[in-house]
Amino acid sequence: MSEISLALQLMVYGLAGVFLVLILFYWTIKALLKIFPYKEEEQN
Amino acid sequence: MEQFMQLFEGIINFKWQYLVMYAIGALLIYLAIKKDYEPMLLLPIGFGAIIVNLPLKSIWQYTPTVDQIATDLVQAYPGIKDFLVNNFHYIFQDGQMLKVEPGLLQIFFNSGILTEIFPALIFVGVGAMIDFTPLLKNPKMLFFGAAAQFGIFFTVLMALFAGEVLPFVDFNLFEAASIGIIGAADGPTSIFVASKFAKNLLGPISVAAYSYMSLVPIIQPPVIRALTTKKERMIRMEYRDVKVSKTVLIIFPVAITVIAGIIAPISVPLVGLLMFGNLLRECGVLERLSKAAQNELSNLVTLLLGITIGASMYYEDFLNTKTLIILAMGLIAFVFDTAGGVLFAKLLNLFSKEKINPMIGAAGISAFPMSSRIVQKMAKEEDPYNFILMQAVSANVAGQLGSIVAGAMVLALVPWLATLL
Repeated sequence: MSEISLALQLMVYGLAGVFLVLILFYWTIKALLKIFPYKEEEQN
Repeated sequence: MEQFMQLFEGIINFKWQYLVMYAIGALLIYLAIKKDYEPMLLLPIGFGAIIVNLPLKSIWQYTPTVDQIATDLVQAYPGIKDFLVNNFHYIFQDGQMLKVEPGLLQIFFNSGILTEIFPALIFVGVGAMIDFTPLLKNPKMLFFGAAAQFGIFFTVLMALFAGEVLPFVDFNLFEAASIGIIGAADGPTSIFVASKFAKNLLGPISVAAYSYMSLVPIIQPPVIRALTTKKERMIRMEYRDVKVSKTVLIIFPVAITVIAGIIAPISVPLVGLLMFGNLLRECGVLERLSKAAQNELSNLVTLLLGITIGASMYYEDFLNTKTLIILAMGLIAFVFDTAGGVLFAKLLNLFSKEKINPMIGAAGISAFPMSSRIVQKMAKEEDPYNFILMQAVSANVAGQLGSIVAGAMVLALVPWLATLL
């Protein structure tokens, strides 16, 4: 397999991996915001 | 007579290439002082480049001395030559084994960069400086932090392609990946990856990474203008001020570390230490440690990191066509990062009712806060009443996470892909 085709694979897997991890982070943030909502008394 | 000549060793051993390196070092110092281009890094790097290119390279290594026992051993057992050269600071010259003890900056290099301690400690400081609140208020912006990493992977491809078409360039996959990671727009991540994959290219990669980061205000606007219409640049975005609880701010760094560590264990030194620094900041009970990480730790490590990187720029390793190609590739990486973010925003606009100003995508690179400021400035140029800074800051913070995750992906994938060759 040539290095160019490996670089193409790196692009596909790499970008997919970055998106996948950041999607997980997105759902984590959503869940955290839902479970621990902001309360007014926290202002102080 | 020989002892008398030793007094002039510096002059006798002077090489014209040193002058070129002094000019490069002086240019970096000039850019740092006069143009304020990343002065904390470019000034120490510039001085390091000068100090290592002095005759006899004494800041890097001591004068080689013949080790007769090692020479006898190699003559008896030639197989151990490579072992001694690779592991015990020996060089083989004229049939003799010469011991070369590391000098001050080589000790810093070996113990701070090859072990990844310096970039890892910088991450603690960076983590303590980052406020993730804008991202937590607007988590959708995470996707721009992912899209704007496109330049990294595109540049890897371009670096290997350059090797195919240019006879004097020959990057392997590991070197190309280290060059591509310049596109992370994140100095410590670039250094971290290069120190694992291409120690020989650490100097030019670091110089390119930090130089282009400081040139973001010049690189991004023309790319954004080329890819967007005036109407798109005028899109207004509604901002909803979501309140984030202290508990979320504290749990966030721990949760991210655990998730990243499970999905990509190799990312732990990067993500883990960044998030450790952030936890120091957000916990509310370690203000002294948080301030120490932001100031003393960051400053000290940055100082040592800069001069040590500069000291890796010995003329034999730096004055070659590879350096020029790396500088060109760095520019490609930044341009395609910006393009990736902008085009991704335009793609989302095809399916979304609530339109996104595509310039926000450009803020998905890690250069914080420059990129978000540029986006706001450009939005204001088109419509003085358009305020998209908060969204841009969210995307910019997402870019800081995205670049580290992209670095981890490269670290995990490249060794595996190399086995398929």
